[in-house]
Amino acid sequence: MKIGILTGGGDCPGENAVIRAVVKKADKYGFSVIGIKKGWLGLINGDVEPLTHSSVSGILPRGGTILGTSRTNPFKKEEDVQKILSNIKKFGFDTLIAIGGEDTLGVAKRFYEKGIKVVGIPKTIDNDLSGTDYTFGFDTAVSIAAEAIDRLHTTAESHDRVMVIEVMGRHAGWIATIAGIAGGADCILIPEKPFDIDKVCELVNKRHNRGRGFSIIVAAEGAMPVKGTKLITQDESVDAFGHIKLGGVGNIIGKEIEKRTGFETRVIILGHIQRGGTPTAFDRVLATRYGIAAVELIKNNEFGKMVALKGNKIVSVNLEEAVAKLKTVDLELYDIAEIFFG
Amino acid sequence: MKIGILTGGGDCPGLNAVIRGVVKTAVQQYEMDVIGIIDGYYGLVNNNVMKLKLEDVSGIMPRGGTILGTTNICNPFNYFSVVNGKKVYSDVSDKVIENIKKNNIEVIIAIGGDGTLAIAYEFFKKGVPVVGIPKTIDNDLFSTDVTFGFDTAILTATEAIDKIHTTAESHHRAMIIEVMGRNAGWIALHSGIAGGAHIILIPEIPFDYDAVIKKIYERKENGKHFSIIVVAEGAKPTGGDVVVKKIVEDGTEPRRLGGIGNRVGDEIERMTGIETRVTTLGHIQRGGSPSPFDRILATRFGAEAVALIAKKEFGKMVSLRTPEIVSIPLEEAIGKQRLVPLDSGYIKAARLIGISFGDK
Repeated sequence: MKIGILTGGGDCPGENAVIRAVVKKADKYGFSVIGIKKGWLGLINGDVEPLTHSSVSGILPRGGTILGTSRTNPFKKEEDVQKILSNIKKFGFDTLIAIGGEDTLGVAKRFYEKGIKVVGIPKTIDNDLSGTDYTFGFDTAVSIAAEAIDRLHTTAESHDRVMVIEVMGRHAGWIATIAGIAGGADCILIPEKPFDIDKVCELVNKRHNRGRGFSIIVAAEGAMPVKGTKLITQDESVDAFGHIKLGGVGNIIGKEIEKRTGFETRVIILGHIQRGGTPTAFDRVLATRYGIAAVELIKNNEFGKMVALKGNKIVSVNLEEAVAKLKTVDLELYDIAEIFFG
Repeated sequence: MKIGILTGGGDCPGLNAVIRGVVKTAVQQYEMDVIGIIDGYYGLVNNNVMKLKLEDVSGIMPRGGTILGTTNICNPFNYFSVVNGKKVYSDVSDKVIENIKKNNIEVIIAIGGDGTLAIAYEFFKKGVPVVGIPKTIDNDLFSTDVTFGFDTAILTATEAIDKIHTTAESHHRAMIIEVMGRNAGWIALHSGIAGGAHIILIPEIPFDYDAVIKKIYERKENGKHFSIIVVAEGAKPTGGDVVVKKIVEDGTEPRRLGGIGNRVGDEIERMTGIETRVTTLGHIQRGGSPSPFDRILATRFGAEAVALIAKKEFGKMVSLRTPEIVSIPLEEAIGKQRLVPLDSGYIKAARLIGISFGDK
């Protein structure tokens, strides 16, 4: 059995842990593993390399992915689809393991429909994939964001400032909600709950009147004001999957608050540090379990599926189910966060 | 003896360790009283003070920020206020002196950067006994080897560069990290070397885009498809100017810098087509728990400042002349910046290992 493995989409702490687990477990069954470079792009260009014990040795604590990644969507050009199908034959891949978010897994699902035996491993820093309780990388991102909020707290307190921290979360506010609860945010703004800027300013004023001169506001990059239907974007450029590159809501909120309340406000956009660095123990273990489970699926000839975490068990779900809809923030969790607002 | 203590300017990890050092030394060794002045010089204009007892400073060592609060927009000699809807600047220094007397404060310890210390010196000239403690995250004060807060800042910046490294590597991108440093590139230089940056752009060395791009291509030719570029907020291209984020008219430094990272990113993407991402570290650099080095330096500064007061040596600033803490007259200390010397050993070592400064 020859397994081709690729990582697609944004990088994520824990990807190397998955790759390592796949190679080690595959070896136990006598399967060989071939690494595909830079996601689907590597299958279009035929850029591959065999993965051995030595190539995955020492990669567990490393962030990023040794295979490289890209946001290439082969279904944009029929020619690329054909190239991939012929390369799969040429390299003799019996099966593919695709590690990625909804886009990468969506492509995997379409190849499965074309008769390719694929297994998916969910990956998103945003934790917004349905079909799994958690994705690896999320815990690391939340830890980094919570630590950053802690750091900003001391400056906010010293200067009596409003601090707006923009974190990742395009369509789902998981990072904002969890890091916000952990960091003791005074207000959390997420895409699931369009915000009323007047209410936000009210919270800030209320704190001020209580003698709390500072406020910490955590905003997901996809947070939106009520009524305003247009996304606030820094530039309108879109990636290969048609997503608008987000960014800028933090600055808009900061300016609004400063203008309306008169309090000094600073905006911090956490950006890429959230998806970098060494994975937390939780993410390393989850990623490792995913890698092992994916090889088990292959061994059992179960294709077109994705490994997933349900409760504390690793299970498998149909790829179809996994990419069907976005997993947004559990509003019960948001209610908990809300108790601490203001 | 009754000491009044204030923190001015931007906050900085280690301020609380200084305050703790001052209070412990003053109360335990010399039986002096310490009065905390709230929000820098504002507290002296508005008479907002509180007594600092041993229990007030208990447990504050690991905390970033300052328990006294701070501001970087209050100069009593040119005090900004709004009267009948109009901006007015006035000299309220006499009111400050009145409030100092009212609280029976006999000496002021001013912890701050060049702005705060210059104001302290003005009060010294008006007869107020003062002792200064140097503070800047940027490490650009001329009269001390190093200031507390800097070590924590470069630790935070280096950690961030490490995190960005993995994404750069995975995506074959040019990643730009903008760090603090208005006029001096110390943070960029230190964190750049420690974080394994390939290009470091600092205010002291104007850069050329051609040289930056040459370095990126050179790496590509060697099979390295990503580059890490650390940019100080005050970096500028040859013949160009710094990028100003906004003007704060009443600030001690009205031109708030920021945005050079995005400018460099756009330019690299435009000239090479290489995917580029920019991260502006911003305020996380000046927050959080101070490193052991900063805690120790801050504690020593605090203790030595009180020792100066005990010897009635006023108008001075404590300073690190490694390994000793010494004191120098405020007059000599203020108004001089310590930029990165072009013949600095740090720059030499960086160049030797192949780091580009974007110059030719």
